[in-house]
Amino acid sequence: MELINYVVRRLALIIPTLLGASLVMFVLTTLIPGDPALMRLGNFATAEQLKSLREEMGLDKPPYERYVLYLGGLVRGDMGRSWRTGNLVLDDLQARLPMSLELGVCSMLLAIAIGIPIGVWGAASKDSVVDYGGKAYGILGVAMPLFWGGLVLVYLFYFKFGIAPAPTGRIDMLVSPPTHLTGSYLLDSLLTGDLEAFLSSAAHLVLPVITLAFVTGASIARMTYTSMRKVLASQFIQVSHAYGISPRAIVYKFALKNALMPVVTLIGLQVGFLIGGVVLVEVVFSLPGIGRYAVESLLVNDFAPVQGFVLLVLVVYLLINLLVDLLYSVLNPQVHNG
Amino acid sequence: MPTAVTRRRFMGQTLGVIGGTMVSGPLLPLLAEAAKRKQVLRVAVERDFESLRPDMSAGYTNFMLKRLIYTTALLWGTKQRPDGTLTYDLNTIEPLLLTAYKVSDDRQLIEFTLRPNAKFANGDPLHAPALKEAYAWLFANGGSGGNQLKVNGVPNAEHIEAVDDVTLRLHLDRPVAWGLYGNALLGTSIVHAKEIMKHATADDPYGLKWLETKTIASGPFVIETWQKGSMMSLVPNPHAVQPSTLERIILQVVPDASTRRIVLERGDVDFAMQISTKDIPDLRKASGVKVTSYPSSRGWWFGMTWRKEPFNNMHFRRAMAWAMPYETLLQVVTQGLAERLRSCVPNNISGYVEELWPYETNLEKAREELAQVQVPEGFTVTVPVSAGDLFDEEATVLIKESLAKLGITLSIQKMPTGQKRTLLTNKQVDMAVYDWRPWTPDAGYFIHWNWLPDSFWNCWSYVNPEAQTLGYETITMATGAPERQAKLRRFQEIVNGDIGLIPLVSEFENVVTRENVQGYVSYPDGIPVLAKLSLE
Repeated sequence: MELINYVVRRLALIIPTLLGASLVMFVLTTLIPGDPALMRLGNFATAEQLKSLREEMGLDKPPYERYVLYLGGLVRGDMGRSWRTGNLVLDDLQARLPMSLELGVCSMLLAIAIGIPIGVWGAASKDSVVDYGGKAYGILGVAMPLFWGGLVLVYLFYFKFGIAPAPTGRIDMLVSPPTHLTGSYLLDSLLTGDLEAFLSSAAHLVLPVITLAFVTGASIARMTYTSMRKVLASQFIQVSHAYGISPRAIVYKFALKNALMPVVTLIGLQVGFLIGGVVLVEVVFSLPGIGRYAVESLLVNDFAPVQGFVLLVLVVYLLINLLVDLLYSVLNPQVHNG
Repeated sequence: MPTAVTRRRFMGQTLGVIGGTMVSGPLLPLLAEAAKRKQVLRVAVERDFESLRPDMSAGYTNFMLKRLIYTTALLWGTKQRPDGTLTYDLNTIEPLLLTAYKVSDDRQLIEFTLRPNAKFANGDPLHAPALKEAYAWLFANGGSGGNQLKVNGVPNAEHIEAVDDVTLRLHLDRPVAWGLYGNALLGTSIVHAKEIMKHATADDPYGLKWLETKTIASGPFVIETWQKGSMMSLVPNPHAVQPSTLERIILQVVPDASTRRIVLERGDVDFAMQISTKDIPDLRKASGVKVTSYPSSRGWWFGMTWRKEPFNNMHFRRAMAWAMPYETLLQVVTQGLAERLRSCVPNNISGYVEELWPYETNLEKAREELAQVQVPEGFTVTVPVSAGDLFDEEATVLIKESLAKLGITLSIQKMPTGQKRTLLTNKQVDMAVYDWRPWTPDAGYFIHWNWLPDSFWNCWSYVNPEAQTLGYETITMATGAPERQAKLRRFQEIVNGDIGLIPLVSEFENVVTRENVQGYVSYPDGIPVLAKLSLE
């Protein structure tokens, strides 16, 4: 019951957070002096046309009125319309979200699969090659700019060696995308048994996922290493050694479980970084996700998609952090949420 | 007995799957399709196509798409340059939808004779009444198409007359120099108005929402598939008035310029749009890649406001003109892929006069001029720059360096292009690098948009009654008339004398394709007509 109350309270907190974020976003986009109507009409606009389009787009109304209208729309699930694509922002985000989720989830899974083992092995075998290699990776991964990393991978594996597919989107130009079920090409091609689409879309994900996972995994590796070193130096581990328990069991059964708490926290926080990274990786690899949608919209003063993107990302971020908090009590029953 | 899952086996299998998909993923479809890919043109474009509305401005990629799915009544003619490449010819016209055209002696009546059996992609007739409806729709919805028709001299839909199925008359309210070939501009793209209006609602009286994503083509291609934000595939319109040899066109969105470059070099696309000028010298040496540079009318100037001191002081303006690093801009920023611009109208258009600009880089003369102006100590000017526009960014930095030697500080403010445009059109900019490309290659057309008191792009608030009277006069005169040329020359003498704008460079249009791509024509608007291309 206590847990349910906690979850309900946390979920309820999302509403004022979103309200605040929507207000900040609205104020910021209002302060930017660009004129969406001018962008829409282009160089050959006349003053009358601009006036008429501004009225049509509601830009002639005072900002507070536009904000109230925007909030009213949000309550009805209407995030506004993108003048650039002509679609409802919600539809555009729905169409692009599966791509970003596919990339984000695969990257996070790979980052965890790389980061935790490297951190654990490095901590368990101090001053070994694995230890130094892990530390070097931790520094390199954190220091490497994502954009640059993606370009280097493209240069090497696509341009130089020719083993990766062209970074031109989710699937090869000459392969038909799978039948739309979930929007994820990997899932949809598996569910429909479309092997050609699966192989092509999986191949197109490899480099973007490695780019994101390399950087995200480095932070996880560093945190795992530090946390493991601390746990391995603690008294109960020394007692376990004295009892003659195998070092393997000590590391994987006792130490790792205790060391995972801060790592889980970090993974939750890394979601924010991952979303930022997705924006850059989507540009380098020409992936049509929500990050690129927001950036391209921002560049042409199409603000409704930017506001929609920020709200969506915020919701995802808050929900994942709630999930992380709930995971604490699973990992350590002594932790009580409430 | 099931095999035990060990860490080593799991890692091995995972790496195997990753490696396998990397190799087989791209290979399988390519092998399967290689045999059947003959006239399939693959083009890497910078951004998505956004909207199918022909009446709105939506960027270069969108303009290119419009040339594929919509026809205009006519197009500029083509001529061969000495090197064998093709460019537009203002003296001839390609009558796309027409079999003939006539212009009355007073140049206020233009009569089109349409192809008798022209059709939209759905088989509906594209006859004179349909063309009139299309133009009337452009007027009615208040977008840029109707405005373009007005600029061409047709004030409203009542001035368009469908005489019979093949004869359409445009009654101009005044003779306009570009009245005929203004009908080649994208703004006058022909839509299926009757079909669009079937989707009109009370909230959307012109069916614009439907037209954002759906249309009935009148051009050489129709949309086969459109994956938003990713790619578009087009196939030939069975009713195209001028069929293409291409069997399919695939437009792939590749937002990063360096990625567009390498996919072209690897041969994964045939044509890469908007390649960075910095990459051109290297691409000229790349195997299998063809780079062709065409002179263009896209000009770059340095603008200064006339609305306040010291910018409106002639000594200050002369000082700026002497201080510009012209050759450095040409060699460093454009890598030599441009030519000096020497007037207040763009180069490579009818009416441009080169010998009226006396200024070269000379800081001594700049200091002498500046000494005669009361410029406060530590004078600082905020200069907006379009983020991501390499010329704007780099040219402004070089100009800043040059002006710093005169004690003037430029504070560079990077912003999205839209933001800079708004500041410019609101006349809120004191100084900035300014670019413009007239889609009709005529000095009078440029004057119409930039130099008259009511010009939308008279961002610097220029006023000179003598020059502006000449400007108005050139709009209505016949393009080839010697007296018009004399007036255009006099206009440039006056405005250059006033240092209306400081001309910097005229950029080349660099077209980067695979070697087997043939048939590119450079048009005044710089928009590729992909339907004219073929693969050898």
